[in-house]
Amino acid sequence: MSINVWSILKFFAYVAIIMFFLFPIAWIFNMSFMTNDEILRKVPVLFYEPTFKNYIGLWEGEIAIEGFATMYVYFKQNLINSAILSVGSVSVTLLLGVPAAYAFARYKFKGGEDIAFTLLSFRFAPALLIILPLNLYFSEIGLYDSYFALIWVYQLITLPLLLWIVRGYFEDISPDIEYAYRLDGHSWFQSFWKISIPLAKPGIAAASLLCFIYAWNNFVFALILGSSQIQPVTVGALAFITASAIPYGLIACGIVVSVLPTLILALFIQKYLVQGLSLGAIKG
Amino acid sequence: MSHSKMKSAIDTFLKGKMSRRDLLIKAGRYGIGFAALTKLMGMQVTSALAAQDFDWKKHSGTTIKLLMNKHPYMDSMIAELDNFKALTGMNVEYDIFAEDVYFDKVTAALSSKSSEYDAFMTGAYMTWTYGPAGWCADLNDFIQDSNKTNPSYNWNDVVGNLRDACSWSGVAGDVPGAAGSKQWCMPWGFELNSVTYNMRYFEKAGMKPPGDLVEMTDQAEYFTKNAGSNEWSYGIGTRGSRSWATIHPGFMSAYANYGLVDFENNGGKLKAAMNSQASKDFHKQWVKMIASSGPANWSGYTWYEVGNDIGAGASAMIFDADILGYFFNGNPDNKEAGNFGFHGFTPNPSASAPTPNVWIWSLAMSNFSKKKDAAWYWMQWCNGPENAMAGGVKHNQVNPVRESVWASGDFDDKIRGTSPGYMEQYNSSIDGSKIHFTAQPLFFETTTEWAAALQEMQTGSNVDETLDKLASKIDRMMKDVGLA
Amino acid sequence: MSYLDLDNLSKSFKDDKIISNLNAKIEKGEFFVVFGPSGSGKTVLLRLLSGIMMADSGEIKMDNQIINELHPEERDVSMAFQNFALYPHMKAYENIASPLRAKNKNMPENEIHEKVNEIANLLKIGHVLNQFPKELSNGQKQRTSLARSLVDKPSVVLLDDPLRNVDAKIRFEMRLELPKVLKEFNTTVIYITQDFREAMALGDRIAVLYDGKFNDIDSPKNIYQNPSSLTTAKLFGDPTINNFDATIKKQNGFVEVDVNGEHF
Repeated sequence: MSINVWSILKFFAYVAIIMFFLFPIAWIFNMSFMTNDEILRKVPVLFYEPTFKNYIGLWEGEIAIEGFATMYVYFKQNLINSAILSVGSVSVTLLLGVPAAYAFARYKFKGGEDIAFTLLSFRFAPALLIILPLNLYFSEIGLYDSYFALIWVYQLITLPLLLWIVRGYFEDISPDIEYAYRLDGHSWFQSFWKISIPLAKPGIAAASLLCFIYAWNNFVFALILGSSQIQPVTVGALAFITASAIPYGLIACGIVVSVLPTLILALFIQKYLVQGLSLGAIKG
Repeated sequence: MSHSKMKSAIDTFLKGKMSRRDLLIKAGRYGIGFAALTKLMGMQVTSALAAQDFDWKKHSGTTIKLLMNKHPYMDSMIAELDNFKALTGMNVEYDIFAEDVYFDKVTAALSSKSSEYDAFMTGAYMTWTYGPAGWCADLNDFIQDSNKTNPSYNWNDVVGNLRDACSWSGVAGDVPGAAGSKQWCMPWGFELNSVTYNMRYFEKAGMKPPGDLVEMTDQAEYFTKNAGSNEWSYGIGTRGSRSWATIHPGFMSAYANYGLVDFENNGGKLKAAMNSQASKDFHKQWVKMIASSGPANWSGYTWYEVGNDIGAGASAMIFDADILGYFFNGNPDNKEAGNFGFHGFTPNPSASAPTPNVWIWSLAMSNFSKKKDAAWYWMQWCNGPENAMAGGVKHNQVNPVRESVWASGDFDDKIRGTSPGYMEQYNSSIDGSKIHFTAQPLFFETTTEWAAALQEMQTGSNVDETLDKLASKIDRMMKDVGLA
Repeated sequence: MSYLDLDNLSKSFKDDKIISNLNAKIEKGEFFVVFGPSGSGKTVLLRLLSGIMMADSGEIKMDNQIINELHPEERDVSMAFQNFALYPHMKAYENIASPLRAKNKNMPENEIHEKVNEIANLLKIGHVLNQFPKELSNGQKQRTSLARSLVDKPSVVLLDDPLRNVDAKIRFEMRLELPKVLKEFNTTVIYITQDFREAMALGDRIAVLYDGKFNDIDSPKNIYQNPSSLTTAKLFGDPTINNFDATIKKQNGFVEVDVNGEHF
């Protein structure tokens, strides 16, 4: 009996916690199917006829406000830009960061710790402090307004993050497992590829996800270093707010769409995160 | 169909001898739709300019790049841009950023001396920094040069107060437009701060728009007190965020109307004047109004919240930019669109006319541009008389900065048709409309402090003490830069 | 099957000489036990032989060919680790098949299958081939690790104290079983242990490692009966042998021993 009461209490506690975290998201989701008029009622409307007007407008990039003006949004392009910048940054980070993390984990070399710390310290520097001089240099060498330049600068955020997370995972792998594989007759590279990387995969997956989120949410780098053609959703979404109205439905719709890629990626990567837990102790 | 007859009708219209209504009737008779007519008019304007004794094609093939804020002015410019391209053979690229981040972008571009952008949008206050820093060009070099400026440009058609407001000598305390001023930017569109009210609500309450600040306070209080049983939520919308933007609209307009100043200028030395007795009395009245009848989250209020609330019917009136009311009134997505009235507001019972502080969206030329002459071609077209007329009549280039547009029958028709009281408001206010702040380099810092002090007073701190503290703080700030 | 020559082999870490001027000759097919107390450098020695570590000086010769500079994968040497070093993300089957896949790139799958099963059955782990290492008992892990080191019939097998991490019962079983299994593979075995009974039970010869070198290299019996030094003798007693100072002299056709005044 007492167990029953306990589990019922627990159930309600879970519901309360989930409500607390999910309510704003659910409300935004809801709003994306409402008209501005419905959203701005003095008493919130709970029942309404859902409209896809916001989504259609977002996709077509042209929202005609009858008899007044036409509003142009470049959200689709912003979304594509965000995808290019985030996927590009994470790819470059993986390419550079995973071998580097392995090197920092396995090999002691002169100044190694200093280099690792210097890379980490990029994370401490306020972005605005870096960005103005960078703007100067990039304009000078013709790198202003290019995906390449932005992906490069994004490494300031993503590379140290991945490096330090993945390094720890590599350190946790017993070197003997790698030696065993080499004694089986595999080359160093094969052992790196088939043993070290798969065993660090949960860490790499988690770090990639974090890097992706950081890159996706970045705002100031693209704003300062790029023209409006290559702005990500974070900057582009601001354009919804106009001098003549705040289209809440459209903004909600933009939020839903821009959260989606991260959400999908997180669900996809979850598999690896869980796998990492179930492999158990790697040592021994 | 008589294409040439139509062309002559448009010519007549363009010379101001035929009203827009007549033109439309004629066009209908010739079987030309409105869209086609608009296009035809554009072509014709272009050909009128092209016929001038001025080499519009001088920079043909040149591409210039603009840095622009997302704004209806920008939209109306883009809608007409093909005409400019056809006229000059030039190409125009533009970057548009939302206002939230726009000035960060401008500052970054200019401070790094980037030649990426040739011209950009700005406000006059910003040029108090940009100009003396050498970031933007003195436009007098172009306006006064008949080789560079087309003969029908007519700079003096631009409202005098606005021309003055966009120029400054760079010496703290000097009045903008006084002798020795440099033209850091030129007015493109502007807003003056007055009252927009919900006519439906006022009718229901049996009120007329307020005659002075005390009446406004009483009315606002009435609306707030009676919010429970009515559609509205509160009486008066004003901005309240911790930013210069809170000071410059309604607040500064009222402040100036009482004859109050932000600084006393003693031969180039500035002394904060917010703590004079008259200023303290004024602050008490203002704080009483916003504390009792302003929005609940007032300290977070910016342009958007103020506009959104009156648009959605939450507030009964706002004391803010006239075009804020105009835009929200015109956008049918807002619940109360079409219900707004406009009112030239004189807060001080003993003042004879409104004295709105103005915000002017202006065009400036980057000093780092490598194509200044070409950029100037775009600028003189953009706020030249023809394009200003097109923007005012066909698009939302409101308020226009040219007197010729205000005087045109078409513009008058358009405004009177949608916005009751707007023309009267403009006519009663324009002579007193100017920048009422003292021009000085710490404008943004001092006004932010001022806004912070207002927030403190709104939550109940003693007005006299808070203002004394504010004044001594600002004096210290001025002293630090050698201005006190 | 190969023979090994270790010639003046040395390895230090910083100022610490772990192996110093070590010499030995290990015969073809021999079961060579390296016995020594913990910290004596046994594991370092194996790492030098396997190529995981490089010697500071000296030579390792395999069938008269110097292999000092060869990478682990280039030496025909396999090794079973004290901590098993199984690949956690591969099933037991793939763990065992790993050397086959590495060294014989084109070995058909059915041949791999045959060989893995053969050794697995021999080591009695045929029934766990489909399991991941974390699902195996320590004994099974140990057998998997052995199977992996033997499956490709290497010339030399290095066994790093393989019975250390299994419980007493299994250890006892394996002591009997291991020599039989290894004999079938016809391979040279270098076996490390710090358990002298294990050394005695398994080794054709035992090398006693301390102070960085081999102090005795001989058959178990000889080492037990005629240790070359007191240190060796102490290492081979259970319980530890008693030792005391005594005077031994030949007198009147008898051997007399004086211990602390007592006379025998």
